[in-house]
Amino acid sequence: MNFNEFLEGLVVALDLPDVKELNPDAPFIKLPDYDSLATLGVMTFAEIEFNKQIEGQWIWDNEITPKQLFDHLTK
Amino acid sequence: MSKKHLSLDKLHIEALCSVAPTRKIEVVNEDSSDKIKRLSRSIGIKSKYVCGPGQRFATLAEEGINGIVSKLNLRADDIDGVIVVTQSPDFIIPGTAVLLQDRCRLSKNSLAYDINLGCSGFPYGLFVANGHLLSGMKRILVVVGDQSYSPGTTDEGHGVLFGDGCSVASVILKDTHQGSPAFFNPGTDGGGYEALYIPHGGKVRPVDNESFIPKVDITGVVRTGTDVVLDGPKIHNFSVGLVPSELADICAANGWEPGNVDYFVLHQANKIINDTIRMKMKLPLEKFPDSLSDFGNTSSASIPVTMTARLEDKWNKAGTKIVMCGFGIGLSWSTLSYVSDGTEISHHYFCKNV
Repeated sequence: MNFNEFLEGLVVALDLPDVKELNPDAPFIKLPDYDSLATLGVMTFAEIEFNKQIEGQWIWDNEITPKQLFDHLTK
Repeated sequence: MSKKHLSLDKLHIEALCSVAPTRKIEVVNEDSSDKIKRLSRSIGIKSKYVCGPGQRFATLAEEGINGIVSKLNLRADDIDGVIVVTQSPDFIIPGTAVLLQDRCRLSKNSLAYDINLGCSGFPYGLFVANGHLLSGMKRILVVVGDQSYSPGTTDEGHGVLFGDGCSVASVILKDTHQGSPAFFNPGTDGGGYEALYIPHGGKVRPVDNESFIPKVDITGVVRTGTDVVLDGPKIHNFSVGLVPSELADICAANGWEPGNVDYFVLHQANKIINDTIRMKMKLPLEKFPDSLSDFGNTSSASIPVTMTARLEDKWNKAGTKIVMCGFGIGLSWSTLSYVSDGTEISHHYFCKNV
């Protein structure tokens, strides 16, 4: 999965009505209406597409961006 | 104790009844916010049944016990005990099982007690009952379920997720199961208790005026101290990380390939969790029956509710291989394999008691 496909998949996984595309360097938690359900979407995406578990708290506490998540999942 | 698959050699569910409360809630209606619509879609719950005025968990349980007594044409003396697995007791003390002994006119010589478990409770109840049967008792009723829906909650996720429900299983020992005994495998990680708990009301933090003051957490959810705290991401990781291997392990104990199991009846946690588990197992949707969409998460009743409401007369066909797995509050989990002998009675109905 290349980075563009990753971003497109994330948009679907987040399922946030006002988010049609992602800024790779903007933290998830700054997205409009970002909540624990959106976090679950990101976690499920990581689990299914990369077979890796991530902590929801990690996304919140470290203000993780899509780029950082991609690096984490593909390293 | 190292991981061990405990054999429930002759455990037989002679009847399984589920009792749903009568008040139906459509999760999404024309006035619903976008967030509720999104929650309903993601969590996978369209409607659910909750206790109406005059109904509570014990009301459902009373009707379930009376229903199973009637179905099996039992007398009071035919029942040696009732084990109630719930976190929705009538009183903090005494337990609900003792109250049901009296209300259902069961023998005063019968055993009656509660087990404080939620999502993992049904396999646990069957396992504990099996122990009593091995001690010489003839028939135990295992009553499971909860009244988890809180009409006044401001936590929208909680408001969408939980339904109320109750199931009663009558269990005996019987030489059956097509040569394949039931197996049970439990597990506990109490270090994770804060993922799903009620902070106020116990001895650590008794209820006071502050208990009812709403507070906002980091994710924007508003709760009071007496509301259920549900850390969705933690429960998610626990569930999807653990359950696939538990299912594979108990299949191996039986000498079954997972693909040859007829039904994996999982606790109905939420659609995201249950779909992820299924995808990790790489098995088709038909093997994972669902009652979430129309009953919600009914806690310890969700496994038997799925069997009676969704599988109806399929789970109890002779030779049907079933793996049940409950997981959640505690953190606690339990897995049980079972082969039907074709005589099990399965019944699902709505509570008439108010």
